[in-house]
Parts: sequence; structure tokens; C-alpha cells
Amino acid sequence: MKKITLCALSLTGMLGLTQPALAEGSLQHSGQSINHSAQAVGHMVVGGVKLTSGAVAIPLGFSAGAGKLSGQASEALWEDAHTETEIGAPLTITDETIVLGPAPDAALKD
Amino acid sequence: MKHFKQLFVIFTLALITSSPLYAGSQAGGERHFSLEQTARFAKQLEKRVAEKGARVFIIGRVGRPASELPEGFQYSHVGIGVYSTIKTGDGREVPGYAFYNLYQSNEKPDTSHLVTDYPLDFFAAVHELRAGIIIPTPVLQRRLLGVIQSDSYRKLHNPAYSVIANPYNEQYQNCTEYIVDVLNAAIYKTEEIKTIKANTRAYFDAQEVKIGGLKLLMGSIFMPDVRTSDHEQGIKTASYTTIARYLHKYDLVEEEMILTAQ
Repeated sequence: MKKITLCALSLTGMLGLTQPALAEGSLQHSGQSINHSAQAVGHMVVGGVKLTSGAVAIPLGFSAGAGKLSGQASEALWEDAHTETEIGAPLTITDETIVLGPAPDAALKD
Repeated sequence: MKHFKQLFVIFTLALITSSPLYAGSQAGGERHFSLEQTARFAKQLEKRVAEKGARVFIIGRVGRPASELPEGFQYSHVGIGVYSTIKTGDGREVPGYAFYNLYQSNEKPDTSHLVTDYPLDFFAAVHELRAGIIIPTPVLQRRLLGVIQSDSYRKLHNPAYSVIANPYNEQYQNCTEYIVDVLNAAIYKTEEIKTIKANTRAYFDAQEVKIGGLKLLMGSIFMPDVRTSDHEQGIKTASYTTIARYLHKYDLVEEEMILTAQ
């Protein structure tokens, strides 16, 4: 019995040690971490932070002729960012905190 | 027989007690900083990178305690930040960064999916408010954006996930291998995975994962996301550090920085 216990302890130890060494954690952090509400289609305040839901993000850049975009960027922003000569020039960032909506299973619980 | 049963019960208990194996995998993970702290850091990062004029950059986060990362690994997940116009839920358009990621599935850890999220989502459950940032040269930024905006971006995704995926073949893929594939698709202007892998084998030096043989064997038996069949000699995988080294080696970095919370 003593041998069995030692064996089990060894296995437990090995499994415990295996996890931190291998599980790197490229897991999605949103969802429950931010504790979204299904009402977050516009604005909401969570933990003192005003969150704005992001519906879609359209890359702004310098890639005329690249693949199809899923929508049209705002003309002003696109024009502002469109030329390669501007790479490296400071860019504007919104002060709003944008987040994804909740995961589908979380949304259904609300 | 009696001893065998006892061993079985104890071993089952051992498996159960090792359930923290997936504690970090449960539905989005735990938060280690207040939402306010994380949101402040995420915005600090966005503004810092925007000041540099980066349209596209590589970003690494610390999703596990640094002490638990294998030797040589500084970050647990790597994605790509892209300057974007973001349409909000209430119909407005605002400028900011969206992050393009290959995320391991919470429900099926041996699979992955592509997710575009935002800085606060990205850092929501990190163990440190620290990020590694690689801003590629303008030429590479432009090419990366071309890949991200094209169908190639999705074609390069292999949903068969292994946390220690071998970046030199296409059997499995993890987040860092995906970044290498996207980078080489951009560099060589191709979506042909054979060509991408040939160039990866020729020019990219992967990170050796130093794990004992027994530990690796146990992991490959009990953890569905630990697969070794794609490796021949030793275990090597892509990492933030090796990606940075690769881009530096071929003069493809405009600037690299580490950002911590202020």
C-alpha cells in the first residue's frame, strides 16, 4: 500500500508539474473575465470602467488593392491613414474602452 | 487485484486533484487585476503604439505566471495588433487597435479558432500587466495588413491545436506558429503552406522546450492539447522571443519594446 501511495503521489506530482510547463495559455481572456452583460450593445459601466461594445473593426492602412474588406472604413479616417508616407506618424486613438460582446452562451444566460 | 483497484482509485484521485491543469482554460480565465487597472494599461499600450505610428504590430502577453513558463519563454500568447476604425454597437466609428488572435478553444483544448478582439479583452486575465511589442518595418507592416485583409488569413489557420506545435510542419498549430505562418505569408507573398514551411525551416530558429521525457509523456497522455507526434528530435516551438529574434536577424523590426503598467 505504501508503494501504491508513493506511486500515486509521484503521478500527482508529475501531472501537477506538467501543467505549468506545457499549458501556455493562448486562451481567450474576454467573456467571463469582463463579466459582460448581453445589454452591452452600446455602453455599460463595469468595475468603474465605461465599456463600449465594438461591432466590427476594419483595418486602416496603406494596402490599396489588398483583399476584400468586410465593410467600408470611415472616409475621413481612411484618407488620413492611407498613404505609406505616413507610416510612423502618430495615430489617433479613442479614449473609449472597446470590448467584444459576451460569448454566445453567456449572452443566452441574461 | 485489490492493490490494482486501490491504485486505480488513487490514480483517479490524482487526476482529479490535478484538475488545475485546465483551471486557466475555464470560460475566459480569472482576472488578476481590477478591470480599471487592466483598462488603464490597455489604453496606455494603445496610445504608446499609436504614438509610434504603428499600423500593425506583434504583441505578447503574460497569461501564466512567469515562474511557470518553460525556460526561455517570456510570454504565453502572441497576437497581431492592427490599427482600425471600430464600429461601435451604437453605430459610431472610432479609431483604435483590434487584436487578431489564434485562441485555444476552452471547450476542446486540442482545437483553436481565430478571434478578433480589443486590448481590454486581450489583457483581461493576464498575470502581469506587461506586454512585449514588436513593430515591424513599414514594408512588412504593409504586407502583413495585406494578408490580414485577404482570404489567406483564414486559409493559414489550422484548427488542430498543440501547445507545443512544431512550426516546421503543418500537422498542428499554436498561436505563435500561426504568427510565423502569417509573417512568412507576408514576407514571401504566398499562401502556399508548403512554401511557407520550407522558408520557416530555412530561416526561423524555434525555441527548444526543455521538459523531461517522462513529464512530456504524461502530458501527451493526459492533456489533449499536448501532442508530440509532429516532432522528430526534441521539442521545439515558436515563441515571442524567437519571432522577435527572427525579425531582428533579417532587419524587419522598426522597434521592439516592453510595456509595463505605469
